[in-house]
Amino acid sequence: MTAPHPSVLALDLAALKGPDATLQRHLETCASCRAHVTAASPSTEPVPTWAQTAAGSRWRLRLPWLSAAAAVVASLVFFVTLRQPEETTRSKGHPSFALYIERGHKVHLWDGRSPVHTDDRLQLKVAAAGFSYLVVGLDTPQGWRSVYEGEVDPNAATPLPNSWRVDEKDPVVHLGFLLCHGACKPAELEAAAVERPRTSQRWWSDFSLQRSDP
Amino acid sequence: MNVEDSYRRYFPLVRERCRRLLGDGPTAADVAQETFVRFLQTRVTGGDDGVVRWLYRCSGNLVIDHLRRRRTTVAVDDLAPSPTSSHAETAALVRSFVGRLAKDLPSEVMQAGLLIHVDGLTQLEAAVVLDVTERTVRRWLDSFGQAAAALDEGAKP
Repeated sequence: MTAPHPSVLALDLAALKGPDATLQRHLETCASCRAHVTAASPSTEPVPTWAQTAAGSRWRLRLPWLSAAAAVVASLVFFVTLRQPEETTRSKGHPSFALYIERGHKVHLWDGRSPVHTDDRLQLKVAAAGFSYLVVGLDTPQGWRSVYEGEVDPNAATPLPNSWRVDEKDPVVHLGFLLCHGACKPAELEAAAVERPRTSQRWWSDFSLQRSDP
Repeated sequence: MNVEDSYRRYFPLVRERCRRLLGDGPTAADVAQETFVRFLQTRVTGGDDGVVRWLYRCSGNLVIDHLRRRRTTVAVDDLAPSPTSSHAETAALVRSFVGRLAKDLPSEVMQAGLLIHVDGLTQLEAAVVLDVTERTVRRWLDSFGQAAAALDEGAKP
């Protein structure tokens, strides 16, 4: 007589904690349960980017003004490496920005080219390379408008606590990033967008996202 | 436990459960990912037992949400019930009508139905996962069985 199969819950727990003696005997004679335990057992596979990103972010946070600002980018995660600096006195490399896009249930890094869709949610991760303060601006017909400002970790990649939803009204989302030491002012965005500083005191980068709904 | 350890320890069973409920396709992968993202953003306590119970509940809710959003009836083969399920007849009905059931029944009733008829859990295990009494699980299963039977009856020529 064949022993009854344990439940999948029991098999899942055995995959994590090891089977007890009774279950071990069953597994030795039951290929399907053995296969289940194998499939559910801890792996050594590489951890995908979306998991690493999710651990440090709060995708559900939405602020009304952010929606109105129409910012950006849902399910795409993109990574933008900045151009070579005009002044290369920094010892920690150059700042870089990664844009993550949440679209439906998927989160991915933006590839720097693909269009975003309405209701995509965007989140930024910045490696400040020694800078300690960030102002994020949105280019609007009325000029640059600050959508985020705050301190960032100068020594580690920092996911911003906010995410932005891509609004159906905006065919293009143009974001600018100004890094500095101490508290630079949102009013500096206008000048920074023109002068594009890449110095040890100020660092500017920007990118444009095209919106194209399927 | 850091994200790497958490992913390697728990994501395989999340992925397998979503495959069990939704088949081996992109939808199952999406739901598994969403479940794990929520896990990473939630402080789940109770060790492995508590985490597994939480993952079952969360993945179940997301599967049900997905089934409710689907416009078409789920194909029979989309569900891959556990070989440990001992309710073959009802499980067959679940496979036939799971999309309709998800739209018609409350989430907790669907959760109980999936745990028992697709995962093959005992009523006691389902009660522990859902943090309710066995009596409550039996009541939900009665509702689930009646709804499945009614759909089956309505489908007969």
